[in-house]
Amino acid sequence: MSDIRVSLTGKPKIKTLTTADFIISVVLLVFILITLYTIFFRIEYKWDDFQGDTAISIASSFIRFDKVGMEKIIEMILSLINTLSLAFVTTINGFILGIVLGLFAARNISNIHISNFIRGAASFIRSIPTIIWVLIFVSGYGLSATTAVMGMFFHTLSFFIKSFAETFEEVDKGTIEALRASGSNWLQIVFGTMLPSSLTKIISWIAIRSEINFGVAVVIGPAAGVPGTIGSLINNASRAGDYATQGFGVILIFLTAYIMEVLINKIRQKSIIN
Amino acid sequence: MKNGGLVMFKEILEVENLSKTYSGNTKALKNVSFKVNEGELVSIIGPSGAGKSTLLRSINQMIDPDEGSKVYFDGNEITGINKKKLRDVRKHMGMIFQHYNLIYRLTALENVLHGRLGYYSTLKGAFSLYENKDIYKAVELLDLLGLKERKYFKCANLSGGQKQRVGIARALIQDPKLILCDEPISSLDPQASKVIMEHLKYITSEMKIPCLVNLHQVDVAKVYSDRIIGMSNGKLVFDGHPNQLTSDKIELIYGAKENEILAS
Amino acid sequence: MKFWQVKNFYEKPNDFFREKRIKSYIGLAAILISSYFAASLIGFDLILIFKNFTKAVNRFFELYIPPNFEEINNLIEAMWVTILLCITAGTIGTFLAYAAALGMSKTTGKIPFLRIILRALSTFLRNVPASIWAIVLLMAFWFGEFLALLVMIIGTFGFNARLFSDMIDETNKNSLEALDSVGANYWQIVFQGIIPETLPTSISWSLFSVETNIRSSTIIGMLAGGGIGHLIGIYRHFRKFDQLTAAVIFVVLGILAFDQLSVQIRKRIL
Repeated sequence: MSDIRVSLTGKPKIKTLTTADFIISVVLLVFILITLYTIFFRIEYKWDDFQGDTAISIASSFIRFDKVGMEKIIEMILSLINTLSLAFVTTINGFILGIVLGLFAARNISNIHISNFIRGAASFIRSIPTIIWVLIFVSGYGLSATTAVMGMFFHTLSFFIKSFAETFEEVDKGTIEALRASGSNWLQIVFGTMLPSSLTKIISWIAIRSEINFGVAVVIGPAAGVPGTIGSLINNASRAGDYATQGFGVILIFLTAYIMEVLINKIRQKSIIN
Repeated sequence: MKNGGLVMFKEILEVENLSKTYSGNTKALKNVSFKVNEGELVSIIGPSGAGKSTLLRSINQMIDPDEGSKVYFDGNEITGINKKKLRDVRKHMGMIFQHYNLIYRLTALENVLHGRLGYYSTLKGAFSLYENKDIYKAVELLDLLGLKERKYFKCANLSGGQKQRVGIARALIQDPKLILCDEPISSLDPQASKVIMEHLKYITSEMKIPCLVNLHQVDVAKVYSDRIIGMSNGKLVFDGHPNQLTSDKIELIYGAKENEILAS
Repeated sequence: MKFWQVKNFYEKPNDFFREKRIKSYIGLAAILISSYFAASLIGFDLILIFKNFTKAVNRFFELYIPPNFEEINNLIEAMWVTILLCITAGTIGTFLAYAAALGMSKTTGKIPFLRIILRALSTFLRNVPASIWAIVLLMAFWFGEFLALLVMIIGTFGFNARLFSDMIDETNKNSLEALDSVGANYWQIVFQGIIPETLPTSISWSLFSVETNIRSSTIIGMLAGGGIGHLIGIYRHFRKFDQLTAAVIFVVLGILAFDQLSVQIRKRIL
């Protein structure tokens, strides 16, 4: 019989350990050890603070819409529209600057140094949490919708830079070369092929980011203190013990986000067909 | 079994009135009946869509045949039995596939050992706690099939012919009473195909394990088979020795003359 | 031809592009107009940003710079806790998501009732921003590390469950057919067939989840407590902005470091 590898315990081996396998095992092991350590040794559980009955009452009131007064419902729907508008304005602002910078960040139509610089800057912007950006603006400009939008703008911008640059880089090389060869200048290439070929993907990205921004806008309210977002209303309801309103708010958020997701899928399917 | 000089062959498989209708009234199999004995290499030939694949999968019940179909394996009826009994039956039936159907991120050795999973409890099987004797058996089989050097290779790194040999080893480690082969050489080059057919011939003639082989290469079937079954439009239209496969018969099966089809 | 009959052919090829272009311009105009309305609705004033620019910049430098590292021990401790929590949440969330994916996918989900429930649950959790749960569950679990952990687990689960389910569906069904034919049972097929094939992708996604958790640890810490986010919330409340900057620097370093680590790991396992 040919050579069989034997493990330390004397049992014949059946696997091979490649680098990939080794790293996977290490990552898994480290994660699991950390998890066990954190759960059993590190977290302060505060069992006495755990309000069992509160938990149950939250869960049971979640869908008790009958308990939510009509004017509360209207208030929530208005703030929902408000939140959506916040998200929308942020997305548009981010898009306008994002598409321009995205063009400059695309390696196939731009200088490699400029492209790397823009991408690096976008990465750096992304590493500062959105809430911090908002706080920076709040300290300079005070608390208002404008500052919230400006704060959320930065991540939107870096998202678009990265996504658009990627999309632009996927544009058919041949067409670009052909346009260059026939003497087109940069703007003509952009409007001639870069934008038209990427149009459906661009719309996809805008839709995707809008949904993300909606989620961000919902949460930024209570965290930064920006009034009028549905997150703030939910926060108020939570502190007042009005769990039914809270539940209603969450369901509203879910429905809005779900509708956006369905629309995004429709858009994506259309772009695949095209 | 020998009986005064006469060698009696044991019947391993009997298929009786096997039919399969898909929704929409497409009849893939129409009343197919035949037997397979110990040590026979039986080829099934016929054009695409004739029902060869459906036939094979109806035998180990991966496809449910229609009411009234009967499949007898080693003397017992296996049509319509429950899932647990079916798993027991499948332990004794090997299967080889056109696209090898291996787990490519695992080694050849691990894939061969998969053949023994039916014999292990859920826990041991799931965590690869195979007994040493099974591991040695797997190594032996891989050596036999010429894969000595590659038993620790991940299957993604093997050639087509090598992958198919791993598939054969996986079937053999089950100690099967029958091996079903669904177009085992369709994805291989002529050289690798010859190697595989030689192995199948060895399995049937020396190891006495009968093989039911779907082929679309008529001349390969003629060279290697003890018996040929011809399918056309779901019906069995020929069942006999390769010598009996005349041009008329071929025309009956394929609906075209022998020189009009690329029978290789 | 009447005007309501669909025009399926164009007289000149140019007409097709013209129609497309007109549609795009109309769409563009619609977006610009609605954004104007949305902006006025919320009181968004871009001009204000530019008008007060210098004043704002000065104020920023006054309050936030230079970063104050006097409580650096607290910062290090908090960052360490944050990383522990993020990895723990990522691990638990990924395991739960994988288990749910097995129940949800068309390939491995054998109980239709369970499939529907799991799909609904994962859709619900995926579409609700995870940080909301920090607010909703605050009264039940109170402020602290545990709530932060819970929120991140929900977030990781919501993100990964559907992803893993799609990943399992894309596993080569032929390979699984072979395991079925040798007489292996359900769990043997899962462990010997599905898990080996999906392992690298799953690990990659779990790394991404930990990364996402670190990125959102700030806001989750502010809302739920626990980790460096909590400290940042405290600094903000007591207007110790220079220390806040120090904390943010820690967070940014943590994010960048983990980002690089993930890239290196992914390069080697995919």
